[in-house]
Parts: sequence; C-alpha cells; structure tokens
Amino acid sequence: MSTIKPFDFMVKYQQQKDWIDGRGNFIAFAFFLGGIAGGLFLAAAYFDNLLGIFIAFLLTGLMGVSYMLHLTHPMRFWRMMSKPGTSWIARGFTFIMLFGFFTVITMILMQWAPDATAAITTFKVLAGIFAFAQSIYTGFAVSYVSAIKIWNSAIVPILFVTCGISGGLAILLAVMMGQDSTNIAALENIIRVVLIAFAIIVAVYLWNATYSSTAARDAVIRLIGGALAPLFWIGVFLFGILIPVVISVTTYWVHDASSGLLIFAVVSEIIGGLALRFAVLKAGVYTPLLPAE
Amino acid sequence: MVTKAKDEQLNQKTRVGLSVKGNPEIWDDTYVNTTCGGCYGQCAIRAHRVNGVIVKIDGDPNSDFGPRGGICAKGEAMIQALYDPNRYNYPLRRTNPKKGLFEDPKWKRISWDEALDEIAVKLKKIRAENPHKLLHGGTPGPGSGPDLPLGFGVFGAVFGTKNWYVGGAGLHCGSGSHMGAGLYHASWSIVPDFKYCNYAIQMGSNKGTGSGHSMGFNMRLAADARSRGMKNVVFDPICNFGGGKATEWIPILPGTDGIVALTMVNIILNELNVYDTEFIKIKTNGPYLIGPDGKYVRDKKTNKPLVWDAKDKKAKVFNDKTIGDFAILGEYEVNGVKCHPGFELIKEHVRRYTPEMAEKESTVPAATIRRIAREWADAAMIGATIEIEGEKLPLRPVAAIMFRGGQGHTNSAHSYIAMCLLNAIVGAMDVPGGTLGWPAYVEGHPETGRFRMIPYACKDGMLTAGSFMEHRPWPIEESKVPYTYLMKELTPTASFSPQPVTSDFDKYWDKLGRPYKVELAMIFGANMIRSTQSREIAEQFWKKIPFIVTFNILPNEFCEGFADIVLPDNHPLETYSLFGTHGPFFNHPIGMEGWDFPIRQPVVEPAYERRNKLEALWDLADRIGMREEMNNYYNVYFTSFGGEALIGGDIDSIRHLGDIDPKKVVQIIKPNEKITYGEMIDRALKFYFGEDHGLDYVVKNGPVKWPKTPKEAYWRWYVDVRIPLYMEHVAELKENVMKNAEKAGIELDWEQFTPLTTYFSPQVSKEISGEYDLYCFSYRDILHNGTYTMEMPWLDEVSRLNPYTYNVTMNAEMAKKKGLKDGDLICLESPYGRKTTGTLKTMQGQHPQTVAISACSGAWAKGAPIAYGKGTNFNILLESDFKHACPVCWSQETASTVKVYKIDHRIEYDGAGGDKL
Amino acid sequence: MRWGMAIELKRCVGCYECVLACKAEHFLPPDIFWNRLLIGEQGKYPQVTKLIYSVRCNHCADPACVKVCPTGATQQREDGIVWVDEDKCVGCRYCMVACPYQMRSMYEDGKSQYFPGQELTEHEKIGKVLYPHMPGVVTKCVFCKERIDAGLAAGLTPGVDREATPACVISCPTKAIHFGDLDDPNSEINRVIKEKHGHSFHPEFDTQPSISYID
Repeated sequence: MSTIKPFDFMVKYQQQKDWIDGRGNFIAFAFFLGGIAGGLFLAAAYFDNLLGIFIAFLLTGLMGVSYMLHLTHPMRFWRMMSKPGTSWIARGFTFIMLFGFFTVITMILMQWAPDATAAITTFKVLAGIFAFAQSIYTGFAVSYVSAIKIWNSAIVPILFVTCGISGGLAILLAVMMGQDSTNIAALENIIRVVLIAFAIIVAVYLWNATYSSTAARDAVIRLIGGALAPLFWIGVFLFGILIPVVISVTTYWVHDASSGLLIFAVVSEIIGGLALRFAVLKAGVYTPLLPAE
Repeated sequence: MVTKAKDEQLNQKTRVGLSVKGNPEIWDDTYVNTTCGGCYGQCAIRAHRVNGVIVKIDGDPNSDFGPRGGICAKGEAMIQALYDPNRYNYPLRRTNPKKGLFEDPKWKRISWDEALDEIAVKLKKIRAENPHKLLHGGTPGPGSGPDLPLGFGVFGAVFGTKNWYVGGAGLHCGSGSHMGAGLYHASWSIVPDFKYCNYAIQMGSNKGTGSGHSMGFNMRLAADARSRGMKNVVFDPICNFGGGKATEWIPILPGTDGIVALTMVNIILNELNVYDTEFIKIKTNGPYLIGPDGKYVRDKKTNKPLVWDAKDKKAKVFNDKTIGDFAILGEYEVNGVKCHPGFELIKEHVRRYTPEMAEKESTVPAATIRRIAREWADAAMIGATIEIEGEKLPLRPVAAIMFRGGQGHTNSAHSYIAMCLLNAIVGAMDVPGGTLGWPAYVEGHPETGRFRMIPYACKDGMLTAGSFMEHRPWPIEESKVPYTYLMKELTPTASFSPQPVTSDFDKYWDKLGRPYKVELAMIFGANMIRSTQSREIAEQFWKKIPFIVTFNILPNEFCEGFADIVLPDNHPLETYSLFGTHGPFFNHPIGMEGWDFPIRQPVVEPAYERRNKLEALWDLADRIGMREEMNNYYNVYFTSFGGEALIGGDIDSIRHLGDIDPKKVVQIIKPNEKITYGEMIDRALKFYFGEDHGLDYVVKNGPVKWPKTPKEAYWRWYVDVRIPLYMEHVAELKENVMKNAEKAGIELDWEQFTPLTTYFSPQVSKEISGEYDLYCFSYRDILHNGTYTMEMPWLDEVSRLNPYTYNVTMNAEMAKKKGLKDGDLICLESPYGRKTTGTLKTMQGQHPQTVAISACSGAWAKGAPIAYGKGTNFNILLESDFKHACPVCWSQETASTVKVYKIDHRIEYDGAGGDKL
Repeated sequence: MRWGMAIELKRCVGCYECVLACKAEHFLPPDIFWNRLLIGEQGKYPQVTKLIYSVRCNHCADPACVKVCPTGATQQREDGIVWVDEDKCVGCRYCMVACPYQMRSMYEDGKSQYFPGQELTEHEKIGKVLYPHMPGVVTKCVFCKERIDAGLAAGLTPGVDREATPACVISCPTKAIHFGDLDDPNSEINRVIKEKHGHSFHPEFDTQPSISYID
C-alpha cells in the first residue's frame, strides 16, 4: 500500500491505519485469535474434546495479550468494560472475560467432576454462548464502523464467525488426529460444509460491496486488483479457501487422506483466517471529504 | 483586553481567552499592542505573553491596520522565529577566508565593540575617499523591522553613497507596478476599492488572497467583497491563490497580460465607444497636443503643453482657466505643425490589438476577451455617482489591478501601463468602487494637522506624490551617464535595478573605465543570494566584494556564504519600530478604512546580545562622526510630514539635505543628542499627534486612530492633477538615454521607449523553442512570502499538508504527454543550462504550457535546518542581464523557458553542506 | 445549548491561520493537528475550481466516537462539545477508526519537538506547563472549551466576545468562521446557516455534525 501523502488526507480515499499499522497489527491478531478461539471452543465442546477446549482457552488468553499490546495505556485495561451499552470493544471485553470464566469452570468440571453432566452441560452452553459472542463480536466491532463502507456490512460478522469456526474446526482436526479420534470423518464432513460456506460468504461479501458504495467498491478494487491483491489472492483465497477446499474435497473422494495432507490443510486454513483479518482491516478506506478529481 | 473586574469573577483555574489545563501558577498574563513583522503588511497585533513567554499572536480587533482581530499563519508563526534555537545571538566574524555558495563561514564570536570598531574604520576611510565605495541594501520585512524612513537605506544615504541595492531588486519587487502606480496613483501599488467594487480584474496578482504588502486588511476586505458578490476575473497561469478565489479564472501565458489589456482598451474605445470623457479631459494628458515628433506641442512663451479648446477653437495652455472644452479627438494645426490630442493617438494606436491577435499571443480566447471587455465597460457605470458621508462622488465600481506576476517580464512597464489604461478610460481611479492606490492623500491628524502628505501637480500639471520611497515617479529626472553600480540614473523611469548583480555588469563598468570599486557592503535583512536571480551570477559578484556586513536574525545562504561580519538583529517581537512602513502610500488601510498609526514595541526583552539595528547604526554613526547628520535628517524627515514639505522622504531626497534651509526644520532631536529608539518614537508621536499621544499613550491604548474623510479616501477629483496616459516623458527621455547608454556600451530594446503603450513579447516567450517548450514561473504562496517562512516549523508542517507548496506543479495533461506523474523527481533546465529540481504534482488548474514553483523555496543554508531542502529554488533558473530586463522600468524577466525531464537526485544540492537530497 | 460553526467558503483564502491559532492556543506537539485545511481542485482544465475546506472535529450531535469508546474517555458535554478525558483513555483507537471525518489523532511521541535535536523552544517549554498533553492518548479539537467555560463564567457570550470564542474563529483574517449556539433559533449562526444554505460533510453517516459549510 503506497503511503498516503499528508496532503491527500481526506481528499482521496484514505486507508484506515489505526487498526493495522504499527501497534494496530495486534488488533488484527486479537480479532483472529478471538475468532479462532471461539470457533475451536464450539467445535471442541460439540465433540467433547477437553484438550480442544483448553487450547481455545489458551488462544483467548493470547488474544488478551495481543489486545494489551495494542493499547497505549494497558494498565487502564479494566476501564474497557465501562461502556458495554454502546461500545463493541467494551462488549467484546466483557464476552472474553465471561467466556474465560465459564470455560475455566467447564474445564474443571470436565476434568475433576466428569459425572456432573448437568452442570457440565450448563456451563458448556454458557461458555459456548460467550465463545460464539467472542468470535462474532470482532465482526460487529468492525461492521459497526459506518465510516468505512466495506466494513459496514451485516456480512462481516458472519464472515468473521465463519472464518473463526472453520479455523477452530481445523485446529480441532489436528488435535483429534493427534488423539487418533474416531470422529475424524464426521469432523471432516463439517469442515467441508463450513469451508464451502466460507468461500461463498467471501464471494457474496465482496460482490455485495462493489455496488453498496463507491468507497466500498474502491476497497474491493484494492483487494482484488490493487496493492492488497497478493494478500487477498494468496492469503485469503489460496490458503484460506482453495487449498483447504481442494484437500477436503479430495479426501472425500479418496477416503483415505494422509494425515500430512490434512495438517497442511489445517495450517493453510489458519493462515487464511489471519490473512482475512489483515485483508479486511487493510481494505478499510474512508470516503474523502473533498470530492477531489 | 481582559479587564480586572472580569478577571476577578473567574475561577482560578481558567483565565478568559487562554486555554489552560490544571492549575499552573500564572504571574504574567499580558496582551501587548504591537505590529507584526512577518511581511510588509505590518498588521496591528496583540501579542499574548504569559509568564514572560509569548504564547500566541492575535490580530488587534480594534485596528483597521490588518484583519481586525484576525491574523495570518505567518504572523502566528513569528513566535517560532523569535524562539528559533538557530538564531544569531552575538556578533560573528568569518574565519574562513573563502566565500561561495556552499562555504562554511566558520564563525567566531566577537564583541559588539570589536565589530563596530572594525566596520567604523572601513567606513571612515571610504567616506574620506569616495562614499560610493559603500554599497548598502537589503529588504525590509523579513524578521527585521523595516523602519524604512529611519534606518533602512537612510544610513547609507546620509553617508553619501548612491549605491543602494534593494534585495531582490528587479526580481522580487514590482518595478513596473511601482513606477506605474507612482505615476498614476501617487502610490506604491493599487488595489480594488473592495467596499464598492463590483467587477475586479486581476492580472498576475494575489491581492486580497494572501500576498502583497497589506495582505492583512486586503484579505479581510476582499472576503467581504466576494461574500457581497463582487465579480472577480483573474488572468493567471495558475488557479491557486488569486485564480483559486476568482469567480472566473482565465488561464494565460506568462508575460502576455499587456496584450489582453490593450485589446480590451481597443474594444472599449473603438467598438463599444464607452469611455469617461470628463476624466480623460480633466484628469489626464489625453487632451495635450502631440506634435509629429511624438512630444508635446508647447506654448512658446511659457513652455507649457498646449491643448485645443474646442469651444474657442484655438490652442491654449493646459491649465488656462478659460478653456471651454478640451478636445481629445481630431487633428489640429498649432505652432505650424499638425498635431493630435494624446488620447486620439492612443485610441488609434490600440486599433491594432484585435482579440484574435491577442488570443494567438496569450491563448485567452478572443470571445472571452470581447465578453470581459463588454462586461467591464457595462459594470463601470460611467456617469454614476454615490454619496458618502455627505460628499457626492463619482461611482466607478470596476477595478483592474496587476502586480508582480503580470509585470515581472521584459515588457513590464508597458504591460502595467496597459492595465492602467483600462482604469483610466472609464475614470475608475481613486474614486469609489474603482482602482485605489494605497492612501496618497493624508490631511493629517485632526488635532495637530501633522502627519500630512498631499499629492500635487508639478511639471506639465502631472500628479506628484507627497511622499514616496526610492526614486520619485514624477517629475522624471534627466538621464545621466551611469556612475553608480546600479546604473539606474541612466533610465530615470526605472524603479529598481538588477545591476550590479548581473552577468553583464563588468562589461559596462569596464567601458566606463571602472570609476571606483565597492569596498564594503552593508546588507540589512535580505537574502542576497537566494532571493535574487541566478545564484551563480550573484556568487560571482558578492565573492569579489572585499568586506560584507549583514544584520540578520537567522542564518541564511548569504550570511553563511559571503558575510564577513554578522550582527544579530532583533526580532520584531523584541524591539521598537516607529514606522512599519514608509507611509500611508505604502501599506496603510485603503478606501474608507480609518487612519491608524500602530507602532512596534518589545513584547519580550531581546535575549543574548541581539540589538536593534537602528541603535547599532547610531553607534556606528557616532564612531564615524555622522550622528549630527543623522539627527538632522530625522528632524528634516519629521518636519516634512508635520509642517513644511521639505523632502518627499524618498532615498534620493535624503542625499540633498544640505540644500534645506535649517530655519525651516523643527528640532525634535538636538544635533549631537544620543537618544534611544524609544525616546525618538515618543518625540515623533508627540510631534505628530500631540503631547498626550506619546509612547505611553500607544503602549496603553494601542494605535493612534482617527477617521478618514471621503476626500482623503477618494482624492482624485479634489486635487487638480493629471496623469500621463500618453507617456510623453518616455519619448522625451529616449534620445539622452541612448546617448548616455552608448558611453557605457549598454544596449537596451530602444523600441520600448515609445510614448504609446504597446505590447512587446516577453523575453521568456522569445526563448521558447524545440525541447525548451514550457514557461516556468514562480508564485507567491500564502505561507511563504516576505519572511523566513520555511524555517518556522509550523509553516513547514502545514506546507507539507499542502499539495502544491513544496512541489513543482504542472498541468495534468501536459505531464501525461511528457510521461511524468505525481511524485516524480523532475529537473527543470533553462536554455542557458541552469537547472533546478523538485517533486512533481499535477494540477488541472494550470496552463498546459507552464511549470510553477512556489517562490522563496529551496534553501540550503546549514544554519536553518528546518528550511533546508524544502521546496524548489526557482530563482536558480533566471538570467540576470539587460537582455532579460524591461528597458523602461528595469524589471527582471521572472519567468524562464525550460525543458522538463526526470532525474535521480537534487543536483542543485550537490556540494551543499547538509544532507544529500 | 449546542455550540456549532458555520464556515463561509467564499471568504476563506486558505491561509492556514486557523490551524496555527489552534496549535498556539493548545501548544499542540509536532504533527498533531486539531484542525486542518483540505485543499484540492474540481473540474477539468480550464474549468477548474479550487477547493479549500477548514476542517476539525464536527462535534456531532450523535457522535460515533462517543459510542464506540469502551472506557467513556470520549464524552459529550451538555453543550455538545465532544472531548477526551486523558485519564480514562486506554488508547484502543476505536474512536479514531470510527470517526468518518478522521479528526482524531494519537499523540504517541511524547518527546517530539519542533526543532529536532535542538533545545526545546520557550514556547514549547511553557506549553508543557500551561497545556500539557499526555502521550499515548487520543487527542482532538475541544472547541476551545476552556475559553468558552471561562468566558461564560465571566458573563461573556461565545461567538460574540472574542475571549469566549474558539481561537480559530477569532483569528481568521477573512472572518470566514461563525460560531454560536445552534439551539438558539435567534442566534447569528442559525441565521447565517439558514440564509446562506449551510450544509455539512457526509450527512449520510447521520452523525449530525455541528459544523456547516456555506458555498
């Protein structure tokens, strides 16, 4: 992305930088980690996989670290819960806290009181709700910004949560392969569906953006043909969609995929998920104040 | 001003008019009335000082001398020049004997006594031998208080030298416009009467949009006019400052404004036949009879010019009270020769300027010229009147003005006069709504009658300024064989001279037998190497001057490369100044804006060993035994505008102090008295405005003010004077100028010595050929004219936010044709091989055949790190010689022919001491 | 009461004094701007219009920045002024992202100076006493609330009395900026906006800016 000249400020389409440049990178990481952690929890909870849940918990912790690194006054982090009424960051922060809290209880119960099924289910559902919330809120945080047309779309939360779930599923696949689980085939089937859904959502999102406003169209052009094209085509499309889909579909027909191939699909999917957050954040452009040119 | 009562009402945390956080201890919170030193405008300001530090500059809301409470960015940023850590704080002596563009002076700190003693020894020797061996000059304004009639230029004039070289000379100043405005308005320059004007034409001028002397109140008045709906047609190659605020921007090739103006005159006189007959008959030399030799037909007895009385059907002396009707058309026979009124000759002469011809030359479409001419003539409302404060006055709500850009070419004088003709033929001169000069008519303070300057008629009944700077525009002196370095005496119509900083000076000086050699140069303020044409040519000249002394506040290229001694001047916010100007005709508020006399006073005490330049000059005068002469001059000067008009105040009149009868001079300062600047201001104020209006009064209450009368604002019909539409004096001069020029081997374009205003192609367009296909010109950016602007971090910051200021601009289509795009580093090369570089920014609002650069850019002094490398130095491209000067007024050609191509680095910084660029 | 501005574009010549008046008034550090001048052009040669807009925080009636702020640092006063409580800001930059007008900046480098590598100027030094800026927090135009508050306390009227009016307004050499109470139907500013058809930037974001522009 060419650096904006100071005199182009608000005269031309101006790229959003605060959430991508410098410390802003940590926001992209946090969003990615939050999404993937939420997705992983949901998947792991469904398959009753304690290790998966634990990893989801760890990833959420990492998300918190990433967040802190983004703040210039991290010691005041507790203030971030002050305004959940209007702020998605405040809400998200609350979700993360609650998710962490319920996940810890769920994990304790699963480990040390495996017979308390009613309690486990209750806390799993509660944690699951906040896992979903944690995964989707990053999308709302972005889509709430009406100033950035390409973000300001109802599809963004769906996109983020789908991406988070597919990433979570991929990680769970790796976990279950390590555990030689018998449920892998079922998991693979879910992954296939989610990945195809993800590809469709990405396509719909971009297609929708092209006619929603000139600023969003400008952003899409940057993504598919401009300076962000390598990030989009290699990161999001190749790693995030094409490779995982091809591997998933192939394994469907071949039935006997090597674990190496599947691991490759998992890594590829994770890279794709990260690339998606970067791509969307970087594609955010503001509509100029002056109708220049 | 914060009143005590209000102050007490406040809670302690916050003060009225001051943004303060927390509860800091505040022991000083003062507004000081003073004047800005950011440019020639010298607006009345209030500097806000808190705890001994100037925190903010406000405009004086109660003064017409400026934007009435507003101020411009340069004025605000003057705080940063005041506190610039790079300032000169002590006298310095050069220890590196080598001089040159990029030489490091290797300064050594010396004491004031040491510095002044050394200079005094040289001055004494020179004065005994030949005072002309002192060359003095500079530019008032840039940070250093001008004090035009008190210090700047005066010291040298009293000393006796005629070598007076103003910084930028033929380059930065409007030679043609100062000549023309002087002749036609008894003023330094012209401006529309924004209050009543309905249709203003600007040619290469930013007046009212951020430059020119008096930028302050002009911005305010022009904004009112635009808001009111005044139509503003701007002919300019670029749609940036003037063009950017125009109601209609008309792109034009540089240097061709004259032909457009003459074509409009032709259409108005010969197609539309609307002109102000009365004005031409009574207020111009239009009726003066011109003989076959092009000169006035004069009365044999009185030698006065003759006119034809159409009523009595006979020739009479122009001011004969019995004239019934001045003939301005027709052919007559007087004194045995066939003759015509001057106006008739002008009317016939302009027939050659057809819109089609003008279009070919200027690229302005013929239809546009016709339309503008018609609109202008309609808007002039010839015959209309208006009543202002009970006075019935002619109303001519049209104005055509031109400044630096329009007349900065080898056709300067004719272009400017062509534009003046437009105003004259409709009578729109110094009447409501028309073109106004800066106030030329001051009846004086109502209580004392002093501070009085009145234009009057002298030789041939022509308008003569009551006060002026430089040469007097009228009466025109005799041509002389050049004997000064400036050679201006050869052509007395010249305002400023590019000589001697030219490539052809030595040729002429040799031919004259090198009568003497300048041994010492004293330069005030100006940057003689960066703000003048061609730094290489300037380098060759200044290198050869044995000793150079400069007064300055901040390091610049001239001080570093060439000065032997630098004296640390005061910043405007730390010193006194009596005259921010040379007088009303220079920069006082126009039209019905009030009389206002702001003075400058220190807001903070000067730190280190910085000194007021004027007091330092007095110390020098003491050392060479010249104080009495200086004091005498001051007495003559103050007396001249407070009693009998002894001198006009111009530099030349100072040289004739000896001729004045001492009995007529009021002794304000005793012959050998050593007073401070503050005391002098006090006495001058009391002399002009009465005992109770001394320095104390101004310090407490701000500027001395009194209302202007309609007679003063619109004086034209109250003073029995005429203006030379037919430039007979040029015809008169020609023979002698040619004769005297020959003795120096000087060749000028003699064709231009014609009394009839004519269009001549500018030198820049003659040099367009082959790959040198573009016109390069500089323009005045609102942030960068008249002071050390690029060294002020605030101005630098906002300049970087501006798409054009630090870049070289070109028309977008043209750039595309040349394979260039935004952000390319490009080189501009003149046909003479001079090169400068810069970053390209394309524009739609620019004439395709032009390249534009914001003036005053491209600094390379090491001592001014913020300015270093910012923007592009345009002046490098210019030639400096008579071939590139207007022969009549000696303006330099300030546009250059260039070819443009991409380059990999900024070659003009090769060898400069700072960072590689 | 709701403070607002109306900017007459015909008057403005683009001198940047509004920017510098603000810099001086609030001792803003290098590269921090509470207001800016946007300069551009419109049209094709030779039919070109130069555009100059003096822009600053719009102090929107329905500000996006206030809503997204998770800590309540960014807040809106009764009189509509939007400001940032330095002590509450965590630096998440959500407000900066959310502002459609991009009128907020993060003051990151607490050590930046106007003459880099040289000593601080007297002006910078006193600024650190009179109007210190906390590094690491978001900073923006406050409509000179200190002047307004002190002025009102002294019985002055913002928009009429200089001492109670924002610095950029009173320093404008072309008197292009009007300031006053948008809630007062009889205020000068409402008259100007109505008579001269004021319009604001990006009404589509529906934040209801308090700054109008008059063509």
